[in-house]
Amino acid sequence: MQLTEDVEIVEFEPALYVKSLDAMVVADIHLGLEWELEEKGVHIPFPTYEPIVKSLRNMFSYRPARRMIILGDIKNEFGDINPEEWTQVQDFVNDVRSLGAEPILIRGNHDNFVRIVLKRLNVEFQDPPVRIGKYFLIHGDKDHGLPGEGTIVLMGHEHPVISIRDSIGVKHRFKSFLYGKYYGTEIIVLPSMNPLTMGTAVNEVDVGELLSPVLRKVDIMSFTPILLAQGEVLKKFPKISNLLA
Amino acid sequence: MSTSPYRFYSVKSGFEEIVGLLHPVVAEWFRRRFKDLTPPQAYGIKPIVNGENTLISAPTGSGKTLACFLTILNDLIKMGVEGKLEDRVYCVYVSPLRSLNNDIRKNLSQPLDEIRKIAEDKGYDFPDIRIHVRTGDTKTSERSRMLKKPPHILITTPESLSIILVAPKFRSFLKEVQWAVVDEIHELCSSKRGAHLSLSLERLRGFSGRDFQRIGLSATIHPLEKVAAYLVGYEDGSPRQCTIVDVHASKKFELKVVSPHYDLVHTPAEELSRRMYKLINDIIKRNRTTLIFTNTRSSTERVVYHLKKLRPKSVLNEDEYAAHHSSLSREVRLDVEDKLKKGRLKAVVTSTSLELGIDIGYIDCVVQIGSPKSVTRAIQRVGRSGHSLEAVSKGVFIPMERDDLVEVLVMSKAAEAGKLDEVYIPENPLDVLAQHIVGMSIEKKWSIQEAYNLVKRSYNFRNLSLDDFTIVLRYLSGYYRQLEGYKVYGKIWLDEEDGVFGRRGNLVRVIYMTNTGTIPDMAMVKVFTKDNKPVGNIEEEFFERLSPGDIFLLGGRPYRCIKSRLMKLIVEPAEGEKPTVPQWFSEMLPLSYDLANMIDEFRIRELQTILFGKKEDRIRHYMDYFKIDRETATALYEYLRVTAEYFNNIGVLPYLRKGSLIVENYIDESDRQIIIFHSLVGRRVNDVLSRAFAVAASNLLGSVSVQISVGDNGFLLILPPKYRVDPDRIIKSVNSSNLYSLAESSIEKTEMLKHRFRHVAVRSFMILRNYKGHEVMVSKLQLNSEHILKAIRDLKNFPVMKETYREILEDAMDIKNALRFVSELESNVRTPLVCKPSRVASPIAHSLLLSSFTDVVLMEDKRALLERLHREVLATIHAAN
Repeated sequence: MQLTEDVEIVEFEPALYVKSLDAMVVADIHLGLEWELEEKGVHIPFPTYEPIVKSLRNMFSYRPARRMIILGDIKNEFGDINPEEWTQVQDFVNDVRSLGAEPILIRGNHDNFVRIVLKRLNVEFQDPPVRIGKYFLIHGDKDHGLPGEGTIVLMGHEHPVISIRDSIGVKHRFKSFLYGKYYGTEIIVLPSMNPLTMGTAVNEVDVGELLSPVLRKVDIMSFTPILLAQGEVLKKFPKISNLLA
Repeated sequence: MSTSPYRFYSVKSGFEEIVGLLHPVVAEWFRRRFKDLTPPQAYGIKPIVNGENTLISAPTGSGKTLACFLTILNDLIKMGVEGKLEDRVYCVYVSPLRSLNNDIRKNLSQPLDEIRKIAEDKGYDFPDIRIHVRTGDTKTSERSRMLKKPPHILITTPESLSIILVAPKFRSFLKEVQWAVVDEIHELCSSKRGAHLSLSLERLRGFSGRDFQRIGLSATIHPLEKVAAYLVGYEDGSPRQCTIVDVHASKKFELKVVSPHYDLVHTPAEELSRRMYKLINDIIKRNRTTLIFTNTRSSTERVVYHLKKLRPKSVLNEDEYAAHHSSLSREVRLDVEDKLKKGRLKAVVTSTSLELGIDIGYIDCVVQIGSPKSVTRAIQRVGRSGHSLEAVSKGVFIPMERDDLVEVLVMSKAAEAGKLDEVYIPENPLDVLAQHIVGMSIEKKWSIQEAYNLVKRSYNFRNLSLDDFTIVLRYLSGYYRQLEGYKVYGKIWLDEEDGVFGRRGNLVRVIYMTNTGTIPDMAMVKVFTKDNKPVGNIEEEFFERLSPGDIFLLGGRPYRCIKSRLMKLIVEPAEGEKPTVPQWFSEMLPLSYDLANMIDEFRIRELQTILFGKKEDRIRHYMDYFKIDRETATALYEYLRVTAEYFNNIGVLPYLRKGSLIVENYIDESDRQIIIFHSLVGRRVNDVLSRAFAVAASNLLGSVSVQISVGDNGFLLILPPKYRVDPDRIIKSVNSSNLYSLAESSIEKTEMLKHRFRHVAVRSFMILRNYKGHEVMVSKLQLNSEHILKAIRDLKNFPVMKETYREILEDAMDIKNALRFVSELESNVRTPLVCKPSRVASPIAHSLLLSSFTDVVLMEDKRALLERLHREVLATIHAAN
């Protein structure tokens, strides 16, 4: 689904393809989330890395990009180094490379300790904001200011979800891209790439409860959500202001 | 010739015969205290003395506790006097109620003290026989005291017993248990809690040096052989023996049905309530103490409030009225129980908490508001009055709506005739098994075969397959993720090649001890009104589905959500409004299968003939047959007559016969087709049927979502506007070979699956409610539950999912009788009678149409669903402009 002349949403994955950069863009992969859940007393019994690889393959068979830009939070956290989790990061980098793309990580708030491993793997790692052409790449946990007319912000962090109650009373939740403009800057928010997570129902919470200071500032009510059922369908919905509970 | 392992014992022992079996001191005490034996004692003591496993079924207050403990106390005293009493546990007594535990300890300590006195007078050196209660409430200091001086009789709950089994030191005192007593077994056996206890007992058996004697104490329940089988279990594949003592027959009942009004169809609800409170207050006035049952916890408070307000002048103090239900604090409940025992209350209103055998002193009369929904429950509740075997149990049923009326009338006849509902005992609950495997692994390293054999000794698991046992082991070892090659946190380690398993890590003991149990201990969200008055609690997971403006039911009343903050929800009453959110669970007790069938027969028979006789004759007949007053008989007559006239007008009545399944084809005011099935087979069966028929309908219409509504007397399918389908085609497309898969695929797509899955996941230790000292709040983790459920379904035979389906289809619903129903449709034992499309629904459809117990079978694929949601959103925007 084409969002701008240069940007399209991969059908049907939580990724953007930016033609001028020949880049696949994703956000919030949170590798190793299952271990954190385990630490919280929730056991995820099934393979969790498999669907991530499957999703990668779908993206690159849709558009065989040369780069893969990760808008932060490649790994889920934390200080202490768990060798198994590093293995998974390593596997991910190798898998992206074997699909013919070079990964580039824009640092997110969870990425403090991943640097060491990425260095060893020779993966490019940059602090936001990163400016390439008209694109302004950030994670979204910090407000770096908006670059203004003619630029496009690509960001993650929020894990946007749209929640809709249907006519028979059932509540449905979908991951969603958000697309909008604020004083001339175009903004595209990506949903989390990790299939285990949903995220914030942006049409249900108060603006003040949004995670990203960027989204708290821009008028998110005027944004257009594009709902995603992974592997199945994408659908553009009316502005968020029309979807309030 | 094969003989049954279960033997009904009916040899009556005489007073002297029993006394002759006792130690002189105990005999002396017994002689001083009692003149005669009560029936449970006359029949029950002998088999217990003989060391037989014994199930005693007798009313509360009939002396069955003493029948059970006389032998045990006698033997302990004998051993003590002979200097053979050791510092270890001889008897484990388990009851489902903590409050019962304290009663029992008191009831045992008192005779012991009296016997001690006699012994000391006679110059015996009387032993120190210790009786201790150990439950979740027991303080650490008491526990360590028990380690130094273990009790001879240990009084505990199922949960605490399973914890004691892994208590490093204390368990050694259980090595040679001689007696295991299960009280209130009728309550335990039909639930997962009972399955949990059954495995605890087999684990106890497993590490004791020898087998112990099992004694079960039960209220009215049917069939006793099944309960006996549950009590004693199996040994090497064959059932252990059990002697059954049934002394229920001697208890006399007097059941009355009184309708608050002669017209239950047109009288407004407030008028009915007013009259009901007057009726009840009249009963309270005439009796010393009246026990009033309601069907929900929340209505308990409401009833007390109104009774107090409208109390007769003779009741001076409103504190003579009290409520008792499980949401009240323990102190309040104990206080009410205490006042009851002392005869200081005129009336107590309760939901289910006083159904169980707490000693509540003298109750003259039991009042039931609405229907207790099963014959067995009716008898158990009424049996709480007339607190001795000779006294007549008096019960008054007050139906509050017309279906209740028919129900309680048929029920009172069935109770008189002793036609009880058959007890259901769950089989192979894999979540319970998972807990116990974790518990067992803490005890020692096991061979798979040895552990499997032990588990199969339990009645609930006697047919467990090795495959199912293995998938639970694998799940607990983290097997399914291990396949991926990354690190796994398992609760056990498993070596399938060598056929052994054991505990993994030191945390497992704490996990087990803080999470074991089967009562779903889910995170609850507190609900308040705007002025900060508590309304009740809802489950975290239901909370997640609510948005501001939604209307939902809590305690049978509608509320509108205003806003939510963290784990708190603010609402306002929305009296008279229909819920906007499907509620796939219900506080209401389900109508039983057996009773529903009796009602069906009665209803059809009456509808067939009612228009032919004279009104007066028919009313007279009802008055005589049901022993009811004119007003009640008129209410019944009127309801049946308007129903018969409706079906006569649409030309269906002449075709009505025994076994007819009336199906209405109703088109409502928003032009939706609503197909109403009057299947009187109980709600658990209707739950299965409604979902299977919904899938069938959806398939015929090409994958649309169908809303269902399930009631005690039938179910509805609600099609989306403009869709039409011939009900006959739906009925024809469901048969006994596809029912199971239809039901299964419908569950796969309902809200109920998610709800139950979470419970089973908690019980299976997949989600730990208590971990590392904090409570896990799943909703805060923002997980993609749909993805998780789908991935788990893809695992095929994953035990937590398998158990979720089993629990839904077998425990919550009744797939067995649903299959029977569908087979009866195939063999024409039941025949559908489909009505023409009509803009008016029949009188018997009204309560179904108002039912709030609903669910949705979502059949659309994601693309169609998003298209529909998009359309709906655009329509709302359009409407708003």
